[in-house]
Amino acid sequence: MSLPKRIIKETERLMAEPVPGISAVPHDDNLRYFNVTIDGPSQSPYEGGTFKLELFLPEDYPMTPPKVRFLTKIYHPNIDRLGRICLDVLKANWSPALQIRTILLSIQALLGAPNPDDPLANDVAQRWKEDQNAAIDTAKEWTAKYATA
Amino acid sequence: LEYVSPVDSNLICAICQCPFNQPMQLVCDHTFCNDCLKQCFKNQEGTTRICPACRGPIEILNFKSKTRKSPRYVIQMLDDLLVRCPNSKAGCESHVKRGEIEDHVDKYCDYSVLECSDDECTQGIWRKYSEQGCLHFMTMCEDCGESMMQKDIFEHQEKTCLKRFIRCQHCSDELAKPHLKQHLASICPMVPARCTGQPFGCPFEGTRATVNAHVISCVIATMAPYLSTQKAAFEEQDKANKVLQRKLDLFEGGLTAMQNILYSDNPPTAASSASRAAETSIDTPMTETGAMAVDIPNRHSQQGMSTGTPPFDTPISHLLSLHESLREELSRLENTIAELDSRTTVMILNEGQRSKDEMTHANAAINSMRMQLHWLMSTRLQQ
Repeated sequence: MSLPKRIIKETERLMAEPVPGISAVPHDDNLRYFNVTIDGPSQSPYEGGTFKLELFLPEDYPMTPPKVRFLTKIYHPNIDRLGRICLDVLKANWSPALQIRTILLSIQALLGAPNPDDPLANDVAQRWKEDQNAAIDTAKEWTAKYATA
Repeated sequence: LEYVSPVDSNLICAICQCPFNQPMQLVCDHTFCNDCLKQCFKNQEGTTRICPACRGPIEILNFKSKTRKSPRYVIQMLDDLLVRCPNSKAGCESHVKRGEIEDHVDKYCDYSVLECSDDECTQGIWRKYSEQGCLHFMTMCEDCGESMMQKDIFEHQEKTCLKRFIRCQHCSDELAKPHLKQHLASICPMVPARCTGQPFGCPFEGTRATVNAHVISCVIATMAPYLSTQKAAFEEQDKANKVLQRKLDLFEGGLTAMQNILYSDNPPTAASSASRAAETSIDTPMTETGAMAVDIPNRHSQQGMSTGTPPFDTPISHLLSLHESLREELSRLENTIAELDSRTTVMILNEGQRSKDEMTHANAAINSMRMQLHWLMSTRLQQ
């Protein structure tokens, strides 16, 4: 099936005017599959890290949300061991008026504001609530270990 | 459809990212293409639908009344957008208003495929050849000998035949049509040209060949690349300068506005309140040196109720609030003065009453003394 115009336009715009701290490049052989990198936001435990993600636009995008997954290991209450992300706009709150760039911005914001009250990785969330400073230290450690080249 | 120029972002549907097609407006005023909206709502369940832009709920009851066509002027703007003819690949170079594209393709476009005029022939033919009868027979190009359908031969001779020579209008070389463009752009030595130093004052004009010879010796042409970078740099500087100038104007305007506010405030609030303004202006951080300069000369110590002013967004609002507090101060002072005045009047009245009483006392005493004196005098006289 041919690529919808919307995906072509979004890709063109992502290339022409990229979001600061975020890059998304489509695969040559599958233009619905993107290699994404997000820089950890400043003043967060993920500062200084560069996180790799994969993003896939399903057949009925934009009526269904893109599938996004972290490839880099990250210590975060809303991201599990497999890199799956717990974020409302990727699930029930998806709207076809949202775009790849807005979704990636939301993920970057999620790194800046972890939400242990709506956890995906229960152990991380538990630790985050009980001893936040220790959890943040671990997150920093993981960032240094896995997310810096 | 392919649009000729970039379209205003306000006319773009947030769902398909293309200019609206049959735009529909929801109760929340958000607009989408009819098809996009339908497809989006198809995926939602329950009795309400959610606006893709604002997530506002739209009851499904009476749904027709909650979506309506966009205003006529929006549709007009969309219909006025220029699009390329869908037959542009075939060779149509028309740019047509979007609202008229259907008519163009159906009735006018030379490259629309019509049925062949021959009843027995089932193949299609472009409109521009459709009146020449059936052209679906094989023939041979008389220049290159390639065989093809008669209907294709016109295009072939016009654009692609490599054996059909034409004469260059400048150098009388003969060459194939497809090569002519390149020949004119970079090869033909007889094309009229100008010295590369022409924008900087070299008046030399000639053919490409003579210009090439001239450029080697021309001082201005050798300087031209340098000069043009200089020119670009100048223009950039100029642009930056203009921006700075505008900024400066803005700042100066702001400063004079602030000074005006200060000067027009001071006279009515008189010297005492002006000095208080100086006090409060010390309390809160002031960045405007101009304002300080006006305040400081008036400053002398006075018994003060320090008005705790919170930090303000802009110097103007700061000054305005200062002005307001000063006015309040003044009215309070007026009240106190009036009170004092009335109190003193009462006091004076009381005092007057008392002295009057005392006077009558004294008068009475004097009277009795006189009576006594009188009595004593009369007894002495009788004796």
